[in-house]
Amino acid sequence: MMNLAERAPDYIRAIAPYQAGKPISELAREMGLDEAAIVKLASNENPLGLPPKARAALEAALSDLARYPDGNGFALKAAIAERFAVTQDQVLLGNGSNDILELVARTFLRPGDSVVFSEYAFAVYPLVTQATGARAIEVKARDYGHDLDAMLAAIEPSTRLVFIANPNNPTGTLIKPGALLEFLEAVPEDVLVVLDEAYTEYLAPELRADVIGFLARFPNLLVSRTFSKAYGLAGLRVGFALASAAIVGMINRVRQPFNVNSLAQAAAVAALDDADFLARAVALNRQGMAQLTEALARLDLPYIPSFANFVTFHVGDAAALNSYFLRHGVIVRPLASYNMKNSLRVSIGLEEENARFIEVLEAALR
Amino acid sequence: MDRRTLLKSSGLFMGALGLSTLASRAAIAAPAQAATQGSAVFIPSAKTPLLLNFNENSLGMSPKAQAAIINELPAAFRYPDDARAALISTLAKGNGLSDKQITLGNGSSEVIQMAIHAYCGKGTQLVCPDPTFNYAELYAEPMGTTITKVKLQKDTLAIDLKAMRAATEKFAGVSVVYLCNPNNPTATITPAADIEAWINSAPERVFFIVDEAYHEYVTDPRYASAARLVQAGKKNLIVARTFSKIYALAGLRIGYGLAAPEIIARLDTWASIDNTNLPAAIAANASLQDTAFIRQSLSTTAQSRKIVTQALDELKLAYLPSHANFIFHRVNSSSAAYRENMKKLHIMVGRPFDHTDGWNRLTLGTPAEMQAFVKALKTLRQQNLA
Ligand SMILES: Cc1ncc(COP(=O)(O)O)c(C=O)c1O
Ligand SMILES: Cc1ncc(COP(=O)(O)O)c(C=O)c1O
Repeated sequence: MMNLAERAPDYIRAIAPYQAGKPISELAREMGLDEAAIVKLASNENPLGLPPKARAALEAALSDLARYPDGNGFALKAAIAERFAVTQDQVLLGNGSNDILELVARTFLRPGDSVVFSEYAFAVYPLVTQATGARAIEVKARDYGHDLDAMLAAIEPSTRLVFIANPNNPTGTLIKPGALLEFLEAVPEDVLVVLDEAYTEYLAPELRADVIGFLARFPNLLVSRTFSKAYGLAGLRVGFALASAAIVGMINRVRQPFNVNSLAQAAAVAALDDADFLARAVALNRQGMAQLTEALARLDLPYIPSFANFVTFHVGDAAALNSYFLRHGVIVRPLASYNMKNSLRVSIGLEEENARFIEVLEAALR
Repeated sequence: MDRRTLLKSSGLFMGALGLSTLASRAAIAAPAQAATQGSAVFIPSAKTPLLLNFNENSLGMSPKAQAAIINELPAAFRYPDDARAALISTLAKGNGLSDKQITLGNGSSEVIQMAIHAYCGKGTQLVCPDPTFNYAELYAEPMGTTITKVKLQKDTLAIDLKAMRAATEKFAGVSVVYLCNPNNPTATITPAADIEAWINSAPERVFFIVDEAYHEYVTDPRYASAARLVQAGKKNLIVARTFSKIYALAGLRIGYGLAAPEIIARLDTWASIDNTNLPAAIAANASLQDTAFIRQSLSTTAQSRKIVTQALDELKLAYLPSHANFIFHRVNSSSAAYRENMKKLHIMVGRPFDHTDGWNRLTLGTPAEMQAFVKALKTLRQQNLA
């Protein structure tokens, strides 16, 4: 008898599942540790927790969950449009920005097409590319970051999409605004550039590209953002994209009609309005970054200078160090799946969480 | 699998129109939650319309689920992995399956979508009853799938399994069969014996999506979940279930699929990563343990059904046996005119379905809501409008 699973096209069967950060409860079970003592610095979440305004909005929204969400996400799209000075038909909502990345791939890719992205770029780009049967063109990184000249040169007639993560996960590297602009000017008009700005809120203003201005100039640009990082809403699953109305309209055709749940919509509207929380998150991140990188430098561990809410560092035997961390209740992210088997990525936590990470690291190296 | 058609064909455009119409209906319908709770008299108004059109549960979620969400809200800054794993484990135990036989969806809509994406495309066929819940068709059509719709049986409006089976036998390629049990919009059931006989004897090229969105409401002994085929190791089906109906979590978007491990692994490549949110997983898990809430939902639905059937009997309007939280009944005008007239009285009833003009699908809300509905129905009758 023929196995139905084997009917899946090769490009589907070739996909290795996405590897998430290890759940706290799982580690506690495996290692016999107390959940409360575990420090999780593995998924680039916001250590401050939920924005207070979002918390209040969530509680208010609890009474209405028996009804389907607003499938058009009217209030959230209006808030986003106002904040970023775009029109509502330029806003696309996603069940997390992963949903956005997938929807873009599903909308614009078919077998025979190709997609350009960088070595060490966010793991979901190859996943969504493969799922559509399109071909991945992975361009060698330069100093762990995007080599835009090489990426431009790699674009073929079959290329429909370019994915760029800025800052990039897992390396934290940044493309400066000027370089980004030059790239957009040079990319063929029939290639959609997906600029994934999941960590953009952490950037100093002068390092931030004027993507809204870019949108007006480049109809082939889509900017993806998330509420999972600086806005502190990873568990609620909401992200958004800004692009031309034509592109948003096309993607909306393949979107699930109720893809963003009611709590996420309510919390995101409130989070956008919580400037105080965002400022605290960014400030805490800056301090935490200094705390961690000082320790790495002191311990002679080379690291990739990062513009996001995590830092990736290199050690001889990352797998051994990772299991040492786990045994001591610290969860970081091994990067073997990125072909960086001598590196670990640590998310920036609260001061005491960072201190615990440093303490265990020092003990491991001793 | 040909993704080209998914994007470029005019078929997609039509499918998309269907989807966006559905989505915008939710936007129109402003909630009337406060007014619908308890047994007080319910007076529909422009501000608090009576929403009997989406088969939602007017009771609202289980108090235990609500408490669980509030308790876990502070953790909502974390990705939902822990809560998802816990829910999968509860679902596995509750259905006599292993964790690898469960997938979670952003609503059961996404589970249906995953199955369609995994099995449909050019050269394949989707066989579905007509009318039925149409998402399978909406997802399959733009992919270039041949859509074969099989009319319900003439008088009973039961699903015509024989004719559906014949359609799969006539088609040489892969057929995906969508079976909705109980069926939406009719609320009728297809006996387990008939479904099982077919699934057990179907050739390998036939795959079944059994949509059991209303499973928890059924008490008729002729019904049984197709989950027992999954338990028995069958690899040619997926059972889709949802927390949107009896569990009253439609706004949170969570559903699940039950299938053989290799089917789940294949479908998961079509699921978006972290597709179910943390409060949804927490609430779903708590709801599954709250048997008192399920009993309460079942008994209010039974009361509401009785209020409605008594009125329909009195007004001599025929109806089908209801095995879900909605009922399919006759109206004395076109369905569209009836819906319009009800809307003028601030009551949203049902939506259009093919080949069933003169019928309406009515959601069974709370008894107080159904009394308000009956009052409106009688008013329309006096004006010769129903
Ligand atoms: C670069 C990048 N893009 C997108 C995402 C997806 O995040 P979410 O789906 O939570 O919005 C992540 C998450 O880690 C990321 O690092
Ligand atoms: C038969 C059936 N299946 C699936 C669904 C979708 O439910 P959800 O995506 O909310 O789980 C519905 C909703 O009305 C339905 O009636």
